[in-house]
Amino acid sequence: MEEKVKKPLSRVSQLVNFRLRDEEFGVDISSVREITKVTEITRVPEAPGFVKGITNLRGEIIPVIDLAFQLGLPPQEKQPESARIVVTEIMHQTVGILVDEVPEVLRIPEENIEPTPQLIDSEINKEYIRGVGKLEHRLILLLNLDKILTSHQMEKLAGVEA
Amino acid sequence: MKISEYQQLFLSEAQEILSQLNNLLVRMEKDPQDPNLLHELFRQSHTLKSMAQSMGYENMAKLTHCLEDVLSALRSGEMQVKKQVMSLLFESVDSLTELKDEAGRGGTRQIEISPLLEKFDRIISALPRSERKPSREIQAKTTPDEPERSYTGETQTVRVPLAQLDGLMDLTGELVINRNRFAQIAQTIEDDALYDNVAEMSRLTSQLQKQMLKVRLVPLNYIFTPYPRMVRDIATNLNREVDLVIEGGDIGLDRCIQDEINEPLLHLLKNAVIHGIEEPQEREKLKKPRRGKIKLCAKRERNFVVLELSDDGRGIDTEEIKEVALKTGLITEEELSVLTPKEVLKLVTYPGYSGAKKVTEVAGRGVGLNASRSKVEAFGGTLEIDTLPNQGTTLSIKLPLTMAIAEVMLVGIADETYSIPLSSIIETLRVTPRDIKNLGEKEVVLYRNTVLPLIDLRKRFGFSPSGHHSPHSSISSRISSVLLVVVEAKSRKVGLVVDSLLGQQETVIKPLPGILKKIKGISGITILDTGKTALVVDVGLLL
Repeated sequence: MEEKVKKPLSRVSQLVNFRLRDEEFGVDISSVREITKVTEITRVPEAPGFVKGITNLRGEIIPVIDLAFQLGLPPQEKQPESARIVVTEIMHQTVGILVDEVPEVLRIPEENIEPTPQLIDSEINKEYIRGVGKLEHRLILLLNLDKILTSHQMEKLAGVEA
Repeated sequence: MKISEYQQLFLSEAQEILSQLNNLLVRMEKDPQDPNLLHELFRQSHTLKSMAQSMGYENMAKLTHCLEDVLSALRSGEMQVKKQVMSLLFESVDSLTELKDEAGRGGTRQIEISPLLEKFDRIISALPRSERKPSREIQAKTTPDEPERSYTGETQTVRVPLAQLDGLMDLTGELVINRNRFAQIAQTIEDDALYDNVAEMSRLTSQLQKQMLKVRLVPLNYIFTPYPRMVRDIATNLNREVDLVIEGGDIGLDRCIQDEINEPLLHLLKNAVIHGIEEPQEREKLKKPRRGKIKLCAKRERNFVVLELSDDGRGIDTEEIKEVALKTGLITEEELSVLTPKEVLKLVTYPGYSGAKKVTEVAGRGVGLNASRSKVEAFGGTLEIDTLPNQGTTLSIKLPLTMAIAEVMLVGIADETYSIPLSSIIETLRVTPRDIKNLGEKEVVLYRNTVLPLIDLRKRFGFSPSGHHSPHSSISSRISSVLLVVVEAKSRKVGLVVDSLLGQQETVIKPLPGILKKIKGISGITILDTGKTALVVDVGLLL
């Protein structure tokens, strides 16, 4: 679903802002269930690369997605102390998304959001981005959660036999 | 279309009544004289009719109304229990089930019931008119005591969706983990009041956890109820006469296990009817009662439930097994010659074995004893066969009471913790690298005079090997001693090479989230006392 951008000027988007390597991202606050510290992520043998592992979220076992891998960002030696798991739902599946830091919740007026990310010079697949939010000197890439995993990957996550 | 909660309740209650009706009909077919059966049948269909009426399911109401008419005619003696009547009754229960299922899908697909209604009409109008009592009257008679009987049983129960129970289980598990952390804190702080309260909390959470586990247990009747009707149908199809006796249906077993075990059980039941019980004439020649008997008996043994499925049929001919096994290339003559009779019998459960002389409509389809056995073993259960020629066959299926809790051994592999179900472990032992021999590609050790193949879990799960060797280095090229966990699955033993033993734990085993379901060698996840997750090694799938 494509977001309509031409909305009344007074509308403000609330975004959960997070950092991954050198980029700043935002996801719509309503799609985030919670943000947790990274406790333990158990590596799963033979799991596809975009799956970092699994973690225990108060008794619920959820897969953790390595967003950096998925976006083609460089791997890092050591996970920073500030790393967090953004718990969200992608097509009715609870998943955690591993990010480097979640500094704040942002409010960006809709008119500051540009639909076509002409401005991005990074290597990130434009599919994943639904817009760019401008806030003073910062550029925040608005992530399209429903697009970050391919349908094939989603099927894998949901355990649907190919 | 979305289904309301109220509809949901109707559907599950209707399902229960329909299974009851099926069972009662099967019993009535055998014992047409029992007035209690008729009475109960009438009562159940009446309840279903009122429910369907109040929900506005007209076709269901109409059909149950006809059912009532026939039942009351049977009750008053105007009509006799005949083959034709019985098949009409069975047919109408099937139609009702179909109608209910369609309602459950929220569907609008029209299910044609008029041919059935016409059949009812013909039967009912054939009755002497003067003696026909309007069913209204009977309805009036049964209504007063009806609500009480159906809503207050001997035990009061509440229907709870399984997902909610699982949620409670999860939270309880977390509470236990939280408690363990408190206990650790209490030890460092050394405050008497704190210590006492943590101890009390310990006790309470343990009790809570035990209660929660019990809540998940569902009586086996949950899957058993449709069996009598099914056996009846198969037997009728094949011109056999079979009684199915069920015992221990009230014994509780984890619902997830029941869901999984249902299909294999159905298959084994079919097998018993098709391959076990002889045709009536043959049985008479053998001086056996005409009607064959299949018994499904559930027993509780400590933390296991044993399901015994026995028939008094022809038994399994071990000579025939040998023949089939040789013909299908399952085994060589040489290998066969050293097998004990019991081991020969076990061949039946191997992949590729099919003993059916002719494929019938009901049996056939590759899945057989082999599939049943793998399923049972996947839960840490066992399947055993015992047979006596012309006296019958007994299958014993031993299942853990609950999948939710299992004893596991925690092992270290690289920097991760894995757990291995204790039920599949034979022993742990330490060998020196010199004991490890190369047999072709495989590494093996000599274990109790047999050759034990090894699986290096580091390699298997994609960790780098210990020491400074290339990833392809063999186990024996590493220094110091090698730790083995000897496990058994599918009647084969194998030694798992692990880095360390970290203790045993009684733990909750959870299913894998979607993505991991297909990963070989992993069967589930446990949450450790520390809150960390550990993957459960699926010994069966490793082999």
